[in-house]
Amino acid sequence: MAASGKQTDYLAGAVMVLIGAGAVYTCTQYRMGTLTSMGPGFFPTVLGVILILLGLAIALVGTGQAEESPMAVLKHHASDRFDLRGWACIICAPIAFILLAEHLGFLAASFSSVLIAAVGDRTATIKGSLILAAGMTTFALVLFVYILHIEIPIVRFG
Amino acid sequence: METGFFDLLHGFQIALEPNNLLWCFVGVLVGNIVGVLPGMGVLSAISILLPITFGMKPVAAVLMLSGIYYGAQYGGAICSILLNLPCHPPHAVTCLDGFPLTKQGRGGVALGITMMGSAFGAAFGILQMIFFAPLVAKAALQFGPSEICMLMMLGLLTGSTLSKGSPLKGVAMTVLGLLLSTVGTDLESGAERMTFDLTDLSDGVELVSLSLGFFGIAEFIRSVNNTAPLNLAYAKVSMADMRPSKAEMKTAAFPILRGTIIGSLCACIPGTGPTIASFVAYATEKKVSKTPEKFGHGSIAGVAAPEASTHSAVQGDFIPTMSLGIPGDAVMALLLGALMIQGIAPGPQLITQHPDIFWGLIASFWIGNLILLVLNVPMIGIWVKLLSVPYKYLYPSAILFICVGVFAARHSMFDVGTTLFFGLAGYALLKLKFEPAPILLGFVLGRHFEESFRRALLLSRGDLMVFVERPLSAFFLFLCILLVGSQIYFYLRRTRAKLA
Repeated sequence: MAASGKQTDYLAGAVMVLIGAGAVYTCTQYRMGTLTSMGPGFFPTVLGVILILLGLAIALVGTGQAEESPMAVLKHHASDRFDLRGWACIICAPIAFILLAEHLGFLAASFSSVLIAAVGDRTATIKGSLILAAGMTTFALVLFVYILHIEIPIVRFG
Repeated sequence: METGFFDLLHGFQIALEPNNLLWCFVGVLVGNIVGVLPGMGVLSAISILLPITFGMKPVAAVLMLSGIYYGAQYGGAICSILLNLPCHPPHAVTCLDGFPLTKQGRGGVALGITMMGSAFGAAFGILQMIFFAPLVAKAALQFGPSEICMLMMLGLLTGSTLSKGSPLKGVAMTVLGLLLSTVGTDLESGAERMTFDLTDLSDGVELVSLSLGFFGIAEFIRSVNNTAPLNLAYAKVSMADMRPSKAEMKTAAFPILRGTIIGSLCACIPGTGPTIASFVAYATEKKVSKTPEKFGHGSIAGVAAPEASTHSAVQGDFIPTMSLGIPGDAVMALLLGALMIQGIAPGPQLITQHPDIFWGLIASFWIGNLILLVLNVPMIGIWVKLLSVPYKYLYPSAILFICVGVFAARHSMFDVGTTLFFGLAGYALLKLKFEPAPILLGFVLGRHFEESFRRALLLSRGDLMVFVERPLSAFFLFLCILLVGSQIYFYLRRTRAKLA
């Protein structure tokens, strides 16, 4: 996915135009009101229009980001490539948390979400991930449930 | 002035209450840890701890959350100097000279100088806040809705155009943040809007899920299997190494002073903040230096100046936030959001209505910075060890904290889902080279901005000229136009230079 600066600008602008248009479209069902007494639809509609204009400007005028800024030299990331395994695991971890916390309780949710997230790293071992998941679950149990008293069922069925 | 002194004394009384002292300590400790750990961000740390503060008193909440912010600056320097990892933007420039010093075996000295510069810069920044914030707030108390509206617009524009990346995209992100703030129940008519018929959204988007999505999940997706390998070969420092020689202190003295002043100037311009300050300080130091060729090869001045400027800018950052209710960057926006959740309306009236918060916060800055010095100098060995915690253990733990933290904010699993949604959206935006920080700025200010805009026009009976007729509001509007105009001018000059 090595898009050039210009292509990124087109795409970025298009996304902004779409979001802006979506906002304007959604706002058609709300009352606009007048300048003196604005309805709920007024402000978001104006913002939507501004976003459309900004999107057009980004796409047509461009942002000139092809040139390297002085800060670009210092980057934390080795590359900007897309990593499917990490991506999938990081998305699945919160999903697992949501589903399991509702049905099996905090322990299962916490353990599985850490485990799933951990195997997203390509150097992760099964043993290391299991230990991490167990350790973090214990830590989170003590911190959140016993010290901070967050109301969440620890174990439940169904 | 006399009253100011007593207020500060009162502030110390508040900050030294055992409960507040404890939370201040927790804050700076967490901040320091987050700063040292490569790959963890201040924004996500503050957001994760934000839900915990809901049950706390406002003073304790603010002390702790601010502590994370300035505490992370101390830790971030260690990470930059010893590992050459610019994991915290304000310290990126410190790598340039800090790491070469480390390679020469003088990493300890670089850290020692950094600590001195940090303490000096922070002290100056706090003094600046003591003197200026009440003055600014006093002047701002006379503002009507039209002035406040224009001032907010100015704050949003500077915040989005002067930070990293393309100004155009920055403004787009701010508008997106404003748009997100309109989701939920309209404050005047009570009608629900932009909720897509989801009842969970009728109270609006949760601040914690927005920020943890954009700065937590999205950042992890980008970084997993993608971090630069850690070079721990040089990460060995003990306390004895940190004492600089007399000559080294002499070389560092003026850079520290210059850096501090640059930092405090940058703090006065909303939107510039510590990152820009450190870059400006480095560039200035290189210009005034008698030995500019040494920069990049381990110059003490190249470490001292940017670090001092970062710390004075970090403390100064609080001035517009506390005196005007206008945050200069995303971290301050979060802090402001935390105040609002506590039911405290930010703005010029904050200092007079809640002197305990303002003066308690300032007193806690002194205490917190002192704690940080004690934490960092004698215990440097522990922090150095923390540097080697690999990312593969950090992000899964952080994801768990994010899930629990977001859930705890409103006891809603739906919010955990929206966090994931914002994480994906944030990753897409990062891929499109958007810098998501201004979203938070727009989101936090959004409701207040809309409210004052509506009220200004209600008072003027729908006459848009009200923004031009009132002199101060016209002045702010003029500054906005000047800002946009200068951006267009620079753009045109760049393209013309390219064509020629």
